[in-house]
Amino acid sequence: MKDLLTTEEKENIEIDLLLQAVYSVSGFDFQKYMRSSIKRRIINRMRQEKMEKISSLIEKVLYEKGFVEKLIDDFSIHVTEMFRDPEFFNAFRLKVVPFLKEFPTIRIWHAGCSTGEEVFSMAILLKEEGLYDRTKIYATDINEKVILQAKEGILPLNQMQSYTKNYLAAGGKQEFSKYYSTDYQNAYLDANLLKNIVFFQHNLVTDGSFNEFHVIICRNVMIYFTGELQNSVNQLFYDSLCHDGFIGIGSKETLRSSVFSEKYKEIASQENIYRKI
Amino acid sequence: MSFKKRQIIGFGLILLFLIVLLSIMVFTLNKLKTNMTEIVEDRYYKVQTVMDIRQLFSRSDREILYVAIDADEKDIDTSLQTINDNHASISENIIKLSTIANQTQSQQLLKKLDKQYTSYTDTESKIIQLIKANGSSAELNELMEEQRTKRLEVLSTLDEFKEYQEGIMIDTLKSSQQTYNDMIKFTIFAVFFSILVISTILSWMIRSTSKELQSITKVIQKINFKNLSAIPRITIQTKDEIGEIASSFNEMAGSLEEYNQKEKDFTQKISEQNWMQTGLAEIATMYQRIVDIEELGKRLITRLAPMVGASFGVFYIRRGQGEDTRFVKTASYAGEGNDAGRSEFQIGEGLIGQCAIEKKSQIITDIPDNYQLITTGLGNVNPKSIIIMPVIFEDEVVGILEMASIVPFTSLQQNFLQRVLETLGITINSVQGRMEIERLLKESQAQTEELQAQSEELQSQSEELQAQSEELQSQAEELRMINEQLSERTHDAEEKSRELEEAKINLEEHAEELRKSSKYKSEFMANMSHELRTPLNSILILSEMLETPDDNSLDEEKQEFARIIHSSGQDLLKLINDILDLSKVEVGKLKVQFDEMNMSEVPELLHQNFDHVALKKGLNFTVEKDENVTNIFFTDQQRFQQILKNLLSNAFKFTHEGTISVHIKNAEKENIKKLAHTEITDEWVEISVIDTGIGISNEKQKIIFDAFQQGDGATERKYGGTGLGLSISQEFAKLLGGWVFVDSEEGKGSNFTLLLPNLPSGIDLPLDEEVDSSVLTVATSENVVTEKIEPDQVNQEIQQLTQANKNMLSNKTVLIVDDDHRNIFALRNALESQGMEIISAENGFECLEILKENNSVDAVLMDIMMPVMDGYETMRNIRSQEIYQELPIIALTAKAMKGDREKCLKAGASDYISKPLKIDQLLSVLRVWLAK
Repeated sequence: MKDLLTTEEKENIEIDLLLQAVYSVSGFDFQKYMRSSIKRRIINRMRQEKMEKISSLIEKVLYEKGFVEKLIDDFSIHVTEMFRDPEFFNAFRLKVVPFLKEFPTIRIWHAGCSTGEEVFSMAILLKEEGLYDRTKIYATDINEKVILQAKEGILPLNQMQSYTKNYLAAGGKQEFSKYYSTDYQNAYLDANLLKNIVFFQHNLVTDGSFNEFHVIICRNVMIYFTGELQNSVNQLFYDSLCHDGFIGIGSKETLRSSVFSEKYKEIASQENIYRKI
Repeated sequence: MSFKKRQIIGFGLILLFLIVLLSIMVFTLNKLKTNMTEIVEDRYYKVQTVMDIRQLFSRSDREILYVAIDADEKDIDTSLQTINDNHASISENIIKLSTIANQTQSQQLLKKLDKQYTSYTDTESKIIQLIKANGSSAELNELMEEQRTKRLEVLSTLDEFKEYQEGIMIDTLKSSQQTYNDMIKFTIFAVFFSILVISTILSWMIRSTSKELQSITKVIQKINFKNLSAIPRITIQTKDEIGEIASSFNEMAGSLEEYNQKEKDFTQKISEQNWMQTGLAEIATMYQRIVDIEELGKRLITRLAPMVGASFGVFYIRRGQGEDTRFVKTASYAGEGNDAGRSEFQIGEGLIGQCAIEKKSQIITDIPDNYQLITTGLGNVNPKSIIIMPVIFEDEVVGILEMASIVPFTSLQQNFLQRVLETLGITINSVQGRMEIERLLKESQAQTEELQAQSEELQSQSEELQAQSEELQSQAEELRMINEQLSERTHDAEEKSRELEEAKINLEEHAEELRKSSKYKSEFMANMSHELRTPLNSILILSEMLETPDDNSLDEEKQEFARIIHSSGQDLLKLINDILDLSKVEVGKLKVQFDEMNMSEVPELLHQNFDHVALKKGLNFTVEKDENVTNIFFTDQQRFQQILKNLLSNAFKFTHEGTISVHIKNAEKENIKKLAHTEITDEWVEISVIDTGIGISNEKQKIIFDAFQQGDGATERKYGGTGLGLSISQEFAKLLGGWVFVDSEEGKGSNFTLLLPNLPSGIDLPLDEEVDSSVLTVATSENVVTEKIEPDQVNQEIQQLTQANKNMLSNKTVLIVDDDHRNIFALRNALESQGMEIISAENGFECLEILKENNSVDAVLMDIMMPVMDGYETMRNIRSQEIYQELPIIALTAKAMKGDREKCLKAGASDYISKPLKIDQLLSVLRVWLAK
């Protein structure tokens, strides 16, 4: 038996315990999230709370009301923008939309939608391609708060310049300003854009599939997962895709080296769009 | 005899026979012809000539006869002439005959004839001479007789000759017929004979040639073309051409056999080559997609061993560097589980280690019997041949292959192994490389994802930080504001106290100045009040006149109206005074005159003033006065009434239903305690004006007493008024030593209460007016300081500050570039109403000129279709300037034109909207692009 554990080992134990505590208290399982990321988030939280030990967080999780929610908030990163990686949307428009036109109805699952910007972008894109009316977008995220925010369809005004640029770079066909109105601090999306989007809370780690989809978009979500979790989520997506369905993942992610590389063929290799074989 | 000779002889004989045949026929024909010629030319001619002679002879005879008998001279001459001619012809013919007569008998006959004829002619000549000489007839007869005898002789000779000739002719004809018959016979015989001979020759020729050819054909037919290894030979019987053909055939057969043998060898080689190439290709194909070195080893050995017939194989890969270098078994074929062969060895260790040093293949064939290696189900087998081969890459042994077989390895197999190993080195290297790349790729993918996660986290953190920093910024802003205000106030306070000091020092000076200015002001005020009072006076006077008419021409109601006009006019007059007074109050110059007032008159006065208002608005209006309130009350009646009227006016103004009540009572102690100067008197009266109107919110209650303030902006718009009422009331109340305070709940009503002291001796203002004013100011500033420190108020100010920011469009400069004045006008109106500054340009050039001179433009609205310089070019031009890279340019395009969008964006537009413009959309876009 070792006399002393190194600081790192101690921290690892603490993190294990903390994540166990979070899971037991809230039902949200972060144990298969990338340890490095989780650790940074924890350290971040500790800095804000001016605490020195991870163990103190466990105490707070167990005894302080509302703290676990705060921590879960910390764990889920919500970085998004409209038409994020415009090339992706451009490629989607050019290489996926022609196939989608053949379907009488289209179901899209946008997993990890955060505050919904990319979902709105997809809605705009499909509207311009004349597909939106027969499309239903299921937008999910682990975090209820961002879902509530997404449902509002309100965007900060100061982001709109860069969103406009993204929209144009993504091959937008209309005036971007047609899709929103503004006041002095926000832009409000046209209610028509929201009508075929269903936002709801869904946890990729614990929840299963809920439909069969023609398209699944899950961008920059799995980068927070360990390889094991990535595989199980990929399996979930594979099972949820209809035959010949499409999956779009983040610009830095890949299906190439995983076991799924055989099950999909690349539609747009740079933009990471694949089609189920 | 050669084929050629035989041909020559054969055909020569045929030719010869033909020539002989022809010669005989020509000879026969010739003979026939000679016979005929003889008959025709010779015999016939002789007969003919004889006939001629006979005829001529007869004629001559006749002539002579004629002459001898009766002839005159003339006829005799003519006959003589004829006789002479005939005579000549006969002689000529006889000579002619004698020349051609070839038979002796003919010659003799001709000689006889000639003799006879000559004698005849002699006689004849004698006759003629006699006749001429007119001889005697006897003589003549005699002569004539003689001549007849001679003539008969000639004629008989002639006939004899003729008969002889004719006899010969018949003979000749007969002989000719005979000749012809002979010839026919001969010819027939000759033809038959020739045919016989020629046929014989031909059959001999054909038979001799075909016999040889047949023997060759037979041999050739015997050849098995599928197997050219053994071709039958032709026995050469002759030395002729066919014999040559046979020998050539034999030669050809020989070389064909040879060629066939060579071909077989070649095919063998090719198939070996093919086997090797196929094997190599198979191995090379197998290499593909292998990303693992052990996998490579396994697949290689399981593929390679059966190929070369090896029963056992093991494959080692080099591991480690320098002294640590060793070869580790990565795969084996037909090994006994893991025990087959050594699991690893070092360089130089055993034969295999030696192989690693020498880098050369080794084949061991002399293997002792007890070396049992190959395991079968039945037992162990002794290998016959073992091969150890190094895998070399860049002159280094990277792996070693060892194989054992129960039969010796053929050179082909060895060769094949050699060839496989040549490329194996590269493959091992590339697989190792690929493994490394794969490993690095995985690592890099993990790192990329990690980086992405980190970057997102960072972004999220930076967003958090942004939010925090914004929060901090606003907090800092707050703090700065507070600080600023604090320091300002402190500064102010310091300043003021210094000013106070200075004021004390310069008091006289100021007092003087003030007096002067107050004098000027008073004069101005006096003028003002005069100017205002003059028209008012006439109103007052005339309304007063109507109020007390002499002739009773007005009914009571109208008199009441006139009274109201009058009293209102008076109020107005007072108000004018008040306004002037307010300014006086502010400089501390308003004078109040305390006088005796009858409190019991107040209710009536109020009813008088407000009953009709209450009636008109349908409100209850009550005034109640407690009995214990003293009637005689010392205060400034005018200000007192003004205050009440102000409060009531307000109450009526903001109440739409319910009740307005006034309650006059002695003041409650608690309320008095709120005031500062309670010591001035014990007697306080409290007048409450209570309404059921719209009420005032708590926040607003603090500010309604400030000058020009009402409940809120909306109230102002709805209810009108200057907002002076409450502040004047408050100021007046203060001047009267009292206070107005409010108690209200929004939506339920308000209760304004006036607290007023009974001051029989008036109020003693602690300072005289000049000092008072400065103190007032200081006091105010202190108040402000204490007030402003309250966070609520700070927030309020910040809110106001942001409120100002809210309309981000105001004071922003927009450059509208459009050639249509109406468009500019419309846009200008719309945008100016948002407080924006508008500059307009009619075309691109103007736009560029404006931008050159004026760099305060915040955004550009750019029409595309313009004369002189269109929108695209203008935008390109603007974007080419360093300072306008980020300037928002919003292109206004006509929807009809496709491709506009791309063109606009290419030309540098930040965004675009299509015509006809919707103002809301335009404002949205402007807000987006002017947002910080």
